[in-house]
Amino acid sequence: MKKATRIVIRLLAIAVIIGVAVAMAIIGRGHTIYLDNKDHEYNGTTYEAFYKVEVLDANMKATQKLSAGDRGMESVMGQKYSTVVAVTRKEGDKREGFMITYQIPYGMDGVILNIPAYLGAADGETPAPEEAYMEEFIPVEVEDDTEEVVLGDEFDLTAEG
Amino acid sequence: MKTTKKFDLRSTLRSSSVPLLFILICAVCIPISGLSPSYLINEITTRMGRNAFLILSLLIPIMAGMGLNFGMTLGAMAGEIALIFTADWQIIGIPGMILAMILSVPISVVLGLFCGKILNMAKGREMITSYIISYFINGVYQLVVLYLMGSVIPIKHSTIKLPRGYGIRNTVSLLSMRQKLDNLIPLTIAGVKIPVATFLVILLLCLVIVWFRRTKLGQDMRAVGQDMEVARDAGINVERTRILSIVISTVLAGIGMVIYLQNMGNIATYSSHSQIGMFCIAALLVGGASVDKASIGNVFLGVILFHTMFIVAPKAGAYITGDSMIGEYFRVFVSYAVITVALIMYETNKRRAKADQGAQLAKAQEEEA
Repeated sequence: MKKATRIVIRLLAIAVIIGVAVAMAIIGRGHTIYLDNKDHEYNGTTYEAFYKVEVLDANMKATQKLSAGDRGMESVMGQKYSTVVAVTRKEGDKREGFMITYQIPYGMDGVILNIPAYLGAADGETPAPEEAYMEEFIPVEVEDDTEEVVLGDEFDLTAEG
Repeated sequence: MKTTKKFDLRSTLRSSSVPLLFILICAVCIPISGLSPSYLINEITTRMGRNAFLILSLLIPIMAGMGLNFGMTLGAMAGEIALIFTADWQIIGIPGMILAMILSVPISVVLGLFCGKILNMAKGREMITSYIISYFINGVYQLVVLYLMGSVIPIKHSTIKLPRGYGIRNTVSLLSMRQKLDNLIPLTIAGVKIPVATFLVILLLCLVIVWFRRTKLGQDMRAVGQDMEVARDAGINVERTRILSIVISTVLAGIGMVIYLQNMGNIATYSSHSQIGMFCIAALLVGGASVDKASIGNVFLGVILFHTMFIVAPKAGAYITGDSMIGEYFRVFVSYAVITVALIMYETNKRRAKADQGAQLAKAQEEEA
């Protein structure tokens, strides 16, 4: 095999491996979706929490039941989130089924979706923008947490965190 | 002329003494431990999936005559670094594993090249050299993970970083990746959970090793392993071949470590890799391998025997002595002891072979005279 051909094949192989790595980084990006059934206000419009929201799985079984004021959580792989929710607007009302789909921004680890606002935003004549029902979840940093790394070798090295 | 090999019971017993001893230990300890067969089989199956890939990574340097590659720890460190990045980037599940494997490869290649080059400078003392290199690189690893990650190398998540703002915590959770490969193709037979996908990956590596032995590079490695000088005279680039064997072993160890840690579900950042080389080498030797000869069969027999001992020893120790710590000490002591015995046997056999050669030469000279 000529040297040039060999180099081309090697470069192609490296390119394929890098391509696979990039694809894995996109496909495998994990996100946490926090589903809120809480009162929410956006631009002067108040979206009231429902009496009950049930998050259903593919077999239409409830995986989470959220009363008014509750927050649910789901882990998602990839950027597309879709789920079916059964909503009971007020006590004694009939359950209504809705499909929730959301394109998660790649850079966000956690996203809070307010279900009443999501469904309410689509109801109006002009649908409300994404900010009406979605916000990034930013975890609270705990400062007093200390951890000591014990390297455990014969030199007795330690590093305090 | 057809030559037939005479069956020599003494030499057969000598070469299989370690596996036989372990079969005996297991035969005594299993009933004493009181563990149920289904529990034992489940545990051994899990450990087979967890460890076999790592142990298989040791075969190629043995083929190239470089002995037991204690430097596989370098690959394990590469795998851990790759997994820390993957965990920080929040790439989860099987894609996360694949990404970690790919990321570990360049780190393993660099470390393998470094290790291989040094081992070429220390021909005949490869094992002790690779053992010390693993300590040296462990220091570099600690520098990178404890001081550079989070300060120079970007690490975003506070769940991974130490509270002081840089350095990695003692334990990194891989919960989003835990047993994803093992459970990819779920199969349970008679209560025994079989990690089919992991076994398929291991089977693939076995096939690659079988194929590799027949390639030009594989043949070169065998030639180098048998006699470096003859191989050099035959036109084989001995140094390059030896370096390649270490690089391949380190890369496989990196991938193996990713498989190992996905099964565990967390990384013990500063200790996961430190014992892995020792236990993998001990398992291979328990399977009947020696410093200069090892096969795929040795790997699987070794995992079964070594890990059976690992599982039953604490319970058996607790029953016999009333203190389970005795069993814990016993299994660690046995790991080191088996490596020591293998090294002594290797040296003894080498000297015996040399003495036999000398005696034959003397006899031939006498006959000539």
